[in-house]
Amino acid sequence: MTAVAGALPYVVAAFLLCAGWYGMATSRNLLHLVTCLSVLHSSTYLLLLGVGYRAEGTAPIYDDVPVGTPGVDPVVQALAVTDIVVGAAVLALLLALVMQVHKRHGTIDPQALRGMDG
Amino acid sequence: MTTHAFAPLTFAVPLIVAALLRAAPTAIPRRVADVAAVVAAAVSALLATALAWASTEAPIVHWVGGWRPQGGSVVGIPLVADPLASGLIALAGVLTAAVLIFSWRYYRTVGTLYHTLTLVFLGGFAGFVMAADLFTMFVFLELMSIAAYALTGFKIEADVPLTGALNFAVTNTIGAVLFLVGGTMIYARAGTPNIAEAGQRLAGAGTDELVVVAFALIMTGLFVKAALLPFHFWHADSHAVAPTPICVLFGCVLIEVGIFAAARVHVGVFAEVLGADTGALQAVLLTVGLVTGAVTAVMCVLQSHLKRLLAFSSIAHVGIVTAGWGLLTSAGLAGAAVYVAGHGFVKAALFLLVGILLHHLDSVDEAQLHGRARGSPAAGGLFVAGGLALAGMPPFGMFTGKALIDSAGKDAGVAWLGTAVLAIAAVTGAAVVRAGLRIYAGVGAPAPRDPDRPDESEDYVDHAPARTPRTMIVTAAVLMIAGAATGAPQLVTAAEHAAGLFVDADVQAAAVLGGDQAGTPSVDRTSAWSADSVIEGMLAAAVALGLGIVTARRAGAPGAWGTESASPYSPVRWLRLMHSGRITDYVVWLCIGCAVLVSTSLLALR
Repeated sequence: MTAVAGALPYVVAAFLLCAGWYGMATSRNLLHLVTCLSVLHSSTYLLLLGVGYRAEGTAPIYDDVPVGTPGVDPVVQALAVTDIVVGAAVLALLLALVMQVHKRHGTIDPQALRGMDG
Repeated sequence: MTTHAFAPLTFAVPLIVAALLRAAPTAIPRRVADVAAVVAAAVSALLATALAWASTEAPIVHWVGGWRPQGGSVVGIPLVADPLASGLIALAGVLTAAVLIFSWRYYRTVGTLYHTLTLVFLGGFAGFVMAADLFTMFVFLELMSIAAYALTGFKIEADVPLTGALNFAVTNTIGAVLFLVGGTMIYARAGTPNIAEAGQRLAGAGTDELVVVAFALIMTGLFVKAALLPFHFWHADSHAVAPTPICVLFGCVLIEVGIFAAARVHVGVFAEVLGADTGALQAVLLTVGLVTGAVTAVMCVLQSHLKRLLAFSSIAHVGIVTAGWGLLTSAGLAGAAVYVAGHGFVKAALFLLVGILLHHLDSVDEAQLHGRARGSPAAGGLFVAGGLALAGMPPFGMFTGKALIDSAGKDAGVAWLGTAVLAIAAVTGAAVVRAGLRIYAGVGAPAPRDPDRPDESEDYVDHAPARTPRTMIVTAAVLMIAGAATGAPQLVTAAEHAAGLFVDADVQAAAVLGGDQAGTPSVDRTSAWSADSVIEGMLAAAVALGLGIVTARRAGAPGAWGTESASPYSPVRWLRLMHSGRITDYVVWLCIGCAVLVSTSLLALR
């Protein structure tokens, strides 16, 4: 595997992190902002899987492969699944809050929502 | 010895009871749910206390599912109970029980969801504190946080700025993501998420940019949780929305646990590999802690919204705790631990007193409440005593904690640290004394009503009876007495011993990975109760009282310090502008803070 291909997951993960962050900072719509948070969060899935990848490795399910077959790291795969569940829970909660904000304030533009000054 | 089995029970008991309460038919009597929840929190606290007792010689390790290390490498997940960790869980358990008891009469109608979420928070908290594995820490961190977000948005029927809950959830999720990114980088380098094992392997491999950036990202993530500048904005905003009893958990344990986790990760993973540079790291942490303390102490004085006032005061005190830990000595950490215990009880009592005000008078605004609580001298006395305790008056735990931090600072060559801490504490104490005098004694002129500024925060409180229910005022009084008890010299000795055990990476590693424990850690003994420290503590209290009286008399008068009439270029105006309440601003602040921490770490620790 070339060095470029090896670095690709990390480059994309860093890009997703930065893109999500930038999107949140410039957001004019809370739904957009929450989705950007999801993009930012998804960078960790890629980072985890990238860290655990092993060239020529199979999925870490060893029932039907000969002993000694190389496999990718199961620890990060397990954590990636947990991470996705966590991300979904946070997303659901945030979307519910955005609905409440819209019901209460009639807008979901973060610039228009009056802040709590001082 | 089977005490190690207590470790998973500290979070299993609240989580199981939470699940049962949720699964139970909605028709179960309210009191059954109340009692079950209080008992679960109390059992968790008792188990943690037993663990603290049993682990004074060496940390107690429980391997989840019995997956012990195989052939010298870790395959399972360890839960590590040492006296410091167990003590923190015990504090959280006791405060959760107090919050639930207070809520018996605070909410006349509340579903079991409230109990469930509170217990899930406690369970996530205990798991986060016990976990000695970066990935397990992340999972429990998120469990605790999601319960906290949901509790903030709980009872949102009333007219409150909901953006506070959003700000809390969004900024903390970014923090958790950064923690996970840093943890994954450590995993990639060390091949293990286990804190002790990763520390040993990193120490063998030596330091480089990856380790330093991972350190900075993990610290950023935990500092967001700890609400340190410039990541602190979510904390005060969440208080404007969250139910008052829940603010107790946010202000007294949630942000403190960020510093605890930072200390644990630093000792276990990074202390040895970044070892040569304690001076630089010490300077960074002291700066972060004291700047946080100074800025938020000023913000605290500027508030008239009582919950936000107490929130900023909590952040200022976490700044002090950070400075204590930032000395990176066991004596400094011992001071920080005692400080957290003292602050936890006193601040909890203050929040409950605010809850009583809201319960009776339907407001948490100092100006609107002016003189309206003259009929409750007991509550007023407790409130002002709480303010003086925050300033560092003996015998409260914050007094002994401050004395320990002071002497640890002198030992570490930072002789002015005690004075800086004293000033921050006195200012936050003065703000509480001022509010207490104005509300309970009617000192000063009532502030003119501003028609453009409607009252911002109300909990949804059911129709209040005229008399304060005994469960509410007694809970507050008991917490205040407990806060005074934390100043006992025995607790100081215990904390010094516990901190000595905690900062010794070899002891921790020996407990987790097996092998010989390299002797008992050396413990410096300081006498927190000396004539000098008592005089200093009384001085701080006197300053807070004096400042409080002066500002209470002047408050409400036109042109008083901090009112809106200040010039457009005044620093106070800038500070207010900074706390805009806009989530997009906070996201940018988080980015700036993260960039500064990463670049400072690269410059200072490489």
